[in-house]
Amino acid sequence: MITSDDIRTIIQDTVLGFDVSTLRDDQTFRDAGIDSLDFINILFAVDERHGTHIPDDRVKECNSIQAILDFVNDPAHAA
Amino acid sequence: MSSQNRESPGAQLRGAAAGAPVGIRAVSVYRPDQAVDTLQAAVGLQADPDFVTEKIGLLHLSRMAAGQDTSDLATAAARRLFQDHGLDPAAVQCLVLVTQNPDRRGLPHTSAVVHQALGLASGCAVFDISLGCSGFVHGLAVASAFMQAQGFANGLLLTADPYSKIVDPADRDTALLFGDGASATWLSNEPVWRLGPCDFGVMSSQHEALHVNAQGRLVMNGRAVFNFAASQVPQSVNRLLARVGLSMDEIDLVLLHQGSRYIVEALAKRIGAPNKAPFVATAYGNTVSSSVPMLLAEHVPEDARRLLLCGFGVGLAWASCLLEKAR
Repeated sequence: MITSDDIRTIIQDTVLGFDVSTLRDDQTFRDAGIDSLDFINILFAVDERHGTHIPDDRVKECNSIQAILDFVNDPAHAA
Repeated sequence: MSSQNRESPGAQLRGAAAGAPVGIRAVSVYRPDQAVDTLQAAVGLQADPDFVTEKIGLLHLSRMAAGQDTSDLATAAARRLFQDHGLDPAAVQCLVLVTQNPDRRGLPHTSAVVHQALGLASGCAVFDISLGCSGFVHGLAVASAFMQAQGFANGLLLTADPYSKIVDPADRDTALLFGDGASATWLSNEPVWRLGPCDFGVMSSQHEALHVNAQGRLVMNGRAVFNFAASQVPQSVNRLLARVGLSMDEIDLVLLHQGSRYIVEALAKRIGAPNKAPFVATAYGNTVSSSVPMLLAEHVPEDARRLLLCGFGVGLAWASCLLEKAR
């Protein structure tokens, strides 16, 4: 099971100068000021570190920590 | 001659042709004077100027003039090489041009057009190679092996891939990235840089991630290209280093394809070379197969002894190699 802290660690490693403690789980990345390049880098790191596969047609919905967790922890989406 | 000492005809032929190892003697580049200001273009595309400056990092994109074509860019780079480095055009035995945006539709091959413009000898071997951002390293390996097999002393490897011919100025995914330009590399059997081992590959399942559509416009899946580069480039670099038993500490400079500031910095971090892989294309853009030779021509310090080059993109293909100072 991937946790909120796992995703937060990735964001901290990926987004230069971003204070992840200010980000709520349900806040969209866009609202938090995370741009499209950092967003795809975050999704890449999630897939790489946790062996998940977020397909292109599901990217838009994975727009917050909670949305990523809902997707990758759903047994129906196991890679 | 006794039959004992006589070589087979095949061996004689091989002996007659094979020459000394071929490497890089010198590199020159050409970029048109005109340029697109990406911060101005960003206004019409509703792109965030901070994003353009800090993430894409390409503030101007070189643009060839109306009436210029791919062969003109390649010819200009080659003329600069002749002038700046003293290569005699009459001594050029082969001319290899890397491009996927040839003059007209690629027939005749653009290298033949360049050959005529440069006034090279009719006995000079001339051909195009169809590759994108990995094209310089692929071309280096192909042309140097070709020259060595034929015993050639001097050759030209040119890159010229003006994406302004295929980019849709209204497409925010691609309109703020690509600049026009060309490079000319003098390949010689008296090299300054010896070509070491290479690592090649292609993730062909993703070939649609960068393609030209039926309307003749470039289409890019940015996420697929990023994922490809972030996964394959570090593996390629690590394979290459492992193959020769070197660590990144023993590489003086890493010349990565200049896709954008973000991809160069992300890859530099992932390969453990955050201070060795410069991003330098701010003033002219992503020049596709010319980006690595532009780095080689303009950003390698005199005391550098060992370089790692990596191009990646269209295909989605990658090509990495090591260069070592010969003298």
